[in-house]
This record gives sequence, C-alpha cells and structure tokens, in this order.
Amino acid sequence: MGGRGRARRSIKLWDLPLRLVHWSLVVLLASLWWTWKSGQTQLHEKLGYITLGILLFRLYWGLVGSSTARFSQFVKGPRAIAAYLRGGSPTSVGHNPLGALSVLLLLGLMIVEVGFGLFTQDVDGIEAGSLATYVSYETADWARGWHELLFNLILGVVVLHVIAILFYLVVKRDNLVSPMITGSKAFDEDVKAPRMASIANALVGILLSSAIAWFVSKGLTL
Amino acid sequence: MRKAVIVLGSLALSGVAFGQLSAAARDPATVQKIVDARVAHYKQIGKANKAIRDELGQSSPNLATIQTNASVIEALAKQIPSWFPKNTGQQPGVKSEALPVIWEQVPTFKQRAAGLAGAAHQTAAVAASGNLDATKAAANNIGAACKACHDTFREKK
Repeated sequence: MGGRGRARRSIKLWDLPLRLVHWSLVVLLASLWWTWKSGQTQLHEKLGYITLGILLFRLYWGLVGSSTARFSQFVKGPRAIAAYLRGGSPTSVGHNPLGALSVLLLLGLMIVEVGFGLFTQDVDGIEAGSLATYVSYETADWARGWHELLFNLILGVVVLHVIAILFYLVVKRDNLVSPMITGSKAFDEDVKAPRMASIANALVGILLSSAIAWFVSKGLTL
Repeated sequence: MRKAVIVLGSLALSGVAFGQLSAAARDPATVQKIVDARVAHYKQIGKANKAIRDELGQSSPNLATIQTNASVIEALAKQIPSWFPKNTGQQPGVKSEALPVIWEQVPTFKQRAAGLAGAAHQTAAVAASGNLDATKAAANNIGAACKACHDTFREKK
C-alpha cells in the first residue's frame, strides 16, 4: 500500500481566483514598496486601492469560495496545530493548520496596513489617502507612522513565509509553489478532492469588492 | 520705570549680539531646538494645506476657509528663510532633514520660499474672487511649490 510504486493522483487544489489573488499580492507588495521608495505617491495610492479590492475579494472568497479558500475549512484551533506539529495529523488538502496561521497573519496585517494607508498623508500633507479628509492633520501623520511600521512587519512575515516554503521543499520534499501556480497537486494518499466554487460566484465577488474599493477610493462619496 | 526699560532693552540687545556671536558654536541641544521649532512651523503649513485640500474635496467647498488658510501659508512662507540660521543643519547630535545645500544656495532657497508665498497669495486672491476652478488650480501650485523646494533642499527618505 502507498509508497513509490503507487501512481500519484493529481487533484485540483487551488482555484484560479485564489491563485490570482496570491500572485497579484506578490506583485502589488513589490510595486507598492517601489512606488513609495521612488516618491510616486499618486501611483502608490492607486495601487493601494487595487490592493484593497483584492483583499476584500479574498475575504469574500474565504466565506463562500472553493473549500480550500474558506476560512472555516482551514483555520484550526491550537489543538489541531499542536497535533500537526507532532506529525499526527492526516494529510492536509490545502492549507495545513500551521500554514493557516501564516495566511491569517498576512491577510490581517495587509488589511490593517491598507486601512492605515487610507488615512495616511505624505510628510508634506500634499498627497493623502482617500479617508484622510475625515481625520486631523495629526491623526493622518500618526497613521503614516503605523503605515510605515506595519510594512516592515509584513516584510518580516513574508520572509518567514518564504523560509517555510523552502523548508517544505528541501526538508519535507513537498513543493508548495507549483500547486500555487498550476492549481493542481499530486497526492500519494487517496484524498477527497476540494469542492470548487463557480465562476458566477467569483464574478459576484469581483463586482462587490471592486465596487466597495471604488467607493472607498472616492472618499465614501458618490 | 524708564531705567528699567533701558536695562531690559540692553539685556535684550546683548542677548541678540551673543546669539550671533555664538552662532558658529551652538551646542547640539540648542540646534535641535531650532530644528524642532522649524519642523513645527512646517507642520503648520502642512496643516493649513490639508485644510485647503479637504475643503476642495467637499461637494461645495467653502472658499472663505480656503482663503484664510492660504493666507496662513503665505505668512508662514515669508518667514521660511528666518527659520534657517547658519549652522543649524545636519551635524553630530542633531536630527534634521535640512540639507547643507540650503546654506550653499541661499538665493535659490529664498526664491523657492518666495515661490510658495506667491502660490499661497494667488490662491487666497482667487478664492476671494469666488472662482472655484481657478482656486483649485492655484491650490495645486501650493503643493507643487512645496515639492519644488523639498526635492532640492530636504533629505530624501
């Protein structure tokens, strides 16, 4: 039973919307850093609103998307995490209990980061996030402090994330990157294939999250 | 009474003279105080600019508010050269973003400060005339004037 002789079965693990969210956040994080560093504040702001839309979509997808995208499916309590660390858990199809923490941490930090960005003004009080008009000059300055600090925190978690992926690749011989690109992964064991959400469902989410992000980018006015 | 005024006056004068003499050798804490004071002044400009920007973001901006804040910026901008006595730039024990080039190109620096005062004056004038579109354009020049000076004279982060 099992072992090398057995044919590995490939199943669809990550749907297209989830993969697009993942890789666009990689590109956005780099571009947001670069546009800030090079003083392209207006472009930085626009990219920020796009990031907001993508994060909102990820939240939507975490509630009603494919089973591997849903928070209710992959977020586990401390007992499950401890069991996973001891090696006593069944094969994870999708995020494992420990990886779930990394997902929550990264998503949570990015949401708070974008949140602060909306109230942030540049050091001159010339450019500002769309919601800065609702707060004082001092508060918008304070938000900038957090916006800068949290970015470094996010970078730290990204580094951890990459180190963990390298650890799985080298030590555990488990390639997590190619499934995030192709969507499919081969399993030795018989595992239940995740349930994939419909395209119509994704379209509703894209529409909703874009509309909200647009509204926020306009300073909550129509 | 008159004597007291004279005594106070001469004390004040000697204070000024002393200040000038010791300009080359202020201790870092004193320089930092000067730096902090000018940062606080710049924040007043930023605050007034935010007030203008916030107003222009409204559906029906209050031009009187814009005029008031533009006048605040104009008054402050005219003081800018006085916020930069010699030897109050970057030096050991002092945290400042003011680049040495400020004191190497004093005429240009003064010209940029005057540029801000001019843009603010123009904004106040068109706001007073009641023309919203012209006010918006003029207000953008305030931001551009800030940037024009910062690009050359302030340390980039």
